[in-house]
Amino acid sequence: MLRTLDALFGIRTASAVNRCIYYAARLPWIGPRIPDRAYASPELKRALAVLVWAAMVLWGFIGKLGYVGLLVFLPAAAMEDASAETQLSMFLHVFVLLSFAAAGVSMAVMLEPKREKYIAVKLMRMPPGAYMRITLAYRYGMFLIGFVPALALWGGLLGLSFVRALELAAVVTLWRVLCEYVHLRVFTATGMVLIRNNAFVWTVIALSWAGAYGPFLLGWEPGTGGIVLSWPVALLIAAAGIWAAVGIARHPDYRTVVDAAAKRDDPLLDLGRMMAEAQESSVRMKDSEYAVLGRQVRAAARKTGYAYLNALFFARHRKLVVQPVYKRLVIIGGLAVFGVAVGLSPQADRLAFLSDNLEAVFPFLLLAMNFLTVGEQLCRAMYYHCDNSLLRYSFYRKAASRHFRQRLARIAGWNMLIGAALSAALTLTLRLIGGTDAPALGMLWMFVLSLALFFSVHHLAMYYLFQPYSTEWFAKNPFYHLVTLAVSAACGFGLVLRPPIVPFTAVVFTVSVVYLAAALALVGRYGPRTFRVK
Amino acid sequence: MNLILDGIVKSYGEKRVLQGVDFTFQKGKIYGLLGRNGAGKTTLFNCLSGETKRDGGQAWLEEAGARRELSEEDVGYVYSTPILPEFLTGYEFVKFFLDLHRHRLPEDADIDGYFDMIRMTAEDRHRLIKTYSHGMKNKIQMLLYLITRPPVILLDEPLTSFDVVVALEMKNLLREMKADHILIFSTHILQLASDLCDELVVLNNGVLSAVPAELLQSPEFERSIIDMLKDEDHVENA
Repeated sequence: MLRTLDALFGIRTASAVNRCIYYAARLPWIGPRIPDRAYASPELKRALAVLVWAAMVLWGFIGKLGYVGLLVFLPAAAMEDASAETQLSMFLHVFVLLSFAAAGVSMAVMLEPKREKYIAVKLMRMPPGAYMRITLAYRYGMFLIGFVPALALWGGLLGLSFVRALELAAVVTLWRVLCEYVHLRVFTATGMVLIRNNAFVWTVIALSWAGAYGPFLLGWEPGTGGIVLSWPVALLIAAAGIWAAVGIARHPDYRTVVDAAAKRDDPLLDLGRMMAEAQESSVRMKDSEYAVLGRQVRAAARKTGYAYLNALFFARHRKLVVQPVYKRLVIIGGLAVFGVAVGLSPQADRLAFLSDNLEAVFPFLLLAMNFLTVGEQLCRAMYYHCDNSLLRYSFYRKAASRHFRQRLARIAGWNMLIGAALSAALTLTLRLIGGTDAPALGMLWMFVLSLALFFSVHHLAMYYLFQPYSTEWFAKNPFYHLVTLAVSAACGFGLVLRPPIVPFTAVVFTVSVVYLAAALALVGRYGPRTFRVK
Repeated sequence: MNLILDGIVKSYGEKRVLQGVDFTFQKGKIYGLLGRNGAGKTTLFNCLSGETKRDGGQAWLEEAGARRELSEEDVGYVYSTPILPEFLTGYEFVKFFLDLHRHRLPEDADIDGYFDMIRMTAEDRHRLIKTYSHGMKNKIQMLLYLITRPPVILLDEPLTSFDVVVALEMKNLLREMKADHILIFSTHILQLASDLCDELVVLNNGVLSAVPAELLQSPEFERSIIDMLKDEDHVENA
């Protein structure tokens, strides 16, 4: 067991250290000073391994502190008029919905496809049973240790005692162990890999998030946390968790479990291809789907050059391009129907505070547009089906600026459509609730449409300037992830700061226009160099 | 017209793949570029086509005594695995390509005329490239350079995976094209090199050297080339 643990740490730290060296070597100034032999220097690697391990542990703590602080504590603490008991009750409610319900389904690692699984079990021939038991024991050990300070700190601020924080950390850990076991049992009984069932996973996530945050809007205090923390329920979960842990420890056939996550005849032969296929399948097209629609192809035939190419591309990839837009419009339509129903119901006055309090709504629009705008999957589709081949030709690279502009116009068009639909749905709802005046609604439209422009520019500019995909399909450029993270962080700040709507809209509008101008200039200047096959 | 390589250098990290490549290639000849795996043949091609930035050295085009720097547009690069946008039909791709290069082409440039040059049937040109065989895709790639006629055409292992009929067609096409171009193709197959090429160059230890013309037809050809390529410094899989 200890040998397996040691080997596993060896793999984790070695790959993290190699990644550190690899990306450090690509940094300006520092990079040229790092020799190739750095990979072979045992002293350097040992020192880095200790640092990396410490960073990984620290990250575990910081991640949980951030998660509980931002997603659980902040919304509860923001209820200024509520009593301390209500705030704590809402804190526990959100935590239960997110960490018990949503994460129990979406964050289970039992059957999750993971590179380390292939490396450890397939390439290094570790016994799958030992690998799975040790990774699960380590994960949930760290999970428990990580949640104690996070819950004690943030819960403590709302009056949760340390003992109750400990209890909550233990219960959530054992609950999640139980969830792992359920995933395992469902797989052994039916062959179904729950975590790969996107419809199921996303439905649970959506329902859990709606259940977590909906009560804030409706002014309802569900008291879920109290139930989970009551001794009978907590003991029941603890007993079930321990039973599940024993079940996991005794499970006889982890070979099948690992194979199901690997899903290839022999990943040993071609690891890169296997990972590539997993990525690529998200934008795969069936041959029959190419047989398209004479009308659109005829319309394309009237165009020339890049306009002709893009028209054909978008016509032949409607499934990847237009369907996500339709789906979003349907979701927004559903929200509009819900909004109208609420607006016409006797409960409408409960939401009336929203009408004069759009500061509370705008930050959520930022988040909503971040999720609703199309772009990232589209860029992946463009890379896989079009640019991956054409970028080999110098004429295509040189014209980066031209196809960037044409594509941006299309993507911005779709996102504006989504933004307009969302704004219309909100306008309708707010009008029915009553109280929102026309200038405020004007701000809302401008805010949402600016965001539509911002995210269109963002996705496409990131694609052209960092080109994060390689021929093996790992999105491997860390700078790409950094910028994406910065944008998500900005969304988080919006939620925390809740600026007044006029300056907020002015800032978002200005940033969007500046981003557009900067992207056009940067792609024009650097696109031919940065937009290429890595 | 000559293509003059002058001290081309390219390193990856501490490994110097090209260590000052000097050579002069002439129009009207097919050059075979030989070298072991990892010798740097593809790196050299990438440096000439602009896909990879070279660390040092120059590439020139010399015509009628005047010299100018080789640019990306001067080079056509035919990949061993043809890489084409598969969602288009052959006809659509060539139309797109013609649109972009219209200013450099004669007024009466006609798509079907071009397809006739590579002997592709009317039915095939309107099928998706996705459904094309390897040979057909390669013909389309070659067609691009028949259209734009770049002075230098680089071919990376072009004939290795063709059946005999397509290979013969391609060989004939290359022979037809050579009068107007500098053709350089890399290969591992000595037989093909000696059969098709007018001259052979060997890339070894990061430098290019010509194989003496008399050796090409000599019975000792294979032995001599292998001796040239055997080298203690050679590193596999660079």
